[in-house]
Amino acid sequence: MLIGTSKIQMAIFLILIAISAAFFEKRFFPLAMTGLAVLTTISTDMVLIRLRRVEPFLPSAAIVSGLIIGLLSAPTLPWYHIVIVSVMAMAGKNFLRFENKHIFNPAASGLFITGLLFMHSVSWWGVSFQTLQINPVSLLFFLILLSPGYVSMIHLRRYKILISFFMVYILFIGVLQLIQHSFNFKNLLMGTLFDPTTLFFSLVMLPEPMTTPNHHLPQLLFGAAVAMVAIFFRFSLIEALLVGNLLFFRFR
Amino acid sequence: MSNKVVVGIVVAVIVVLAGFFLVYNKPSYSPSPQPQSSTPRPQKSTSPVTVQPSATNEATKEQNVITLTAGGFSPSTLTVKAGTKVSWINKSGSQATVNSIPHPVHTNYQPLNLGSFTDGSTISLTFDKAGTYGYHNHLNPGQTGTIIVQ
Repeated sequence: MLIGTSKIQMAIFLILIAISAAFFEKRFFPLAMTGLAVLTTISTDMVLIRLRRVEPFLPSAAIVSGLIIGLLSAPTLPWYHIVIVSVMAMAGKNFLRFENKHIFNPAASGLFITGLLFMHSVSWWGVSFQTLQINPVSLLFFLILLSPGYVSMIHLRRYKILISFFMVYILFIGVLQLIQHSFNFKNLLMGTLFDPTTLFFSLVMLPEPMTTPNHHLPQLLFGAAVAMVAIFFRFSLIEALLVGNLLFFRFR
Repeated sequence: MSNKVVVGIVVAVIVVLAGFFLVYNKPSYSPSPQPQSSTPRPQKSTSPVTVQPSATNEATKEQNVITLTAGGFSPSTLTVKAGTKVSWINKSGSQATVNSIPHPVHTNYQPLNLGSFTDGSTISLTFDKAGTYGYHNHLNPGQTGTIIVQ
């Protein structure tokens, strides 16, 4: 059944996150922009697949990429920015390949390229409000945010990437805090392990199976590398992920 | 229910309970550290700012104030001279933060990780070095701003 596939399950969880974000924002226009992103990624992917003379298949990966783009792109952007991000993502998915395998995370590449073109940064609007707080609604939002972990950590078994990423990320952020004489263990964890943006990134984007290593040691190194690139080169998580994709695409 | 699912649920519950334990005793959450390096020195005030009129630089003080509302930081780009103190006033109606780009690692300029401030309160930072400093509200990363120090 389709619903048993990892990508469809991931899409369902991302839709739940998008709906919860719309409720939190008390406006549903962002959902429309997310829908636009999904429609664009699906249609673009299907066109490019046809151009590449590949037998058509359910564009479940395009659905996931469109949802990620919708959750991360500022809803205040012009609609054509969302369209361009989505088209760029699918172009990268279809044409930036090595030995017929993806190199870069599609959503990340689309967001990065469009950010350069239009000089805007990733908003993370849909995955930044789920701060863990002691009330039922916040807890519910937080659990919804964690739900994609069922797919990436359990179904796809990409937990080594997440573990190595967080270990290195927390360690070096802590070292930076110690150097700055501002170390606070609780703030460290709240800003890393329990930060909603970082959680979404590590549960959804970082372990994307088509652009990450399949074997244990490369997975550990990949997660660690992305964390170190983000911290030492002062890259955004998106940029660090793309660097990690580039460094490790041969290890699949 | 498979063992993997059970393990995953248990891990998730442990993580959430650990989070509650960490959150419980502290009412406010500061997503980034308060740097205490000697230069530049961030200045944080949790009480609303009362501007003390000065005969010479009242207008200048007002020019170096950034207001955060529900619509974002205003002005979104502020140009100041080195050695100038810039203040952020939170009038957004909810808790907010001022953190260095990029989100969420905040590594570009550590002193700009001023952390959270409640609605009605003010935080400040003196910029000693020339450069361009991007920042954002960690709790709403679409709200961004830039300080250009000449």
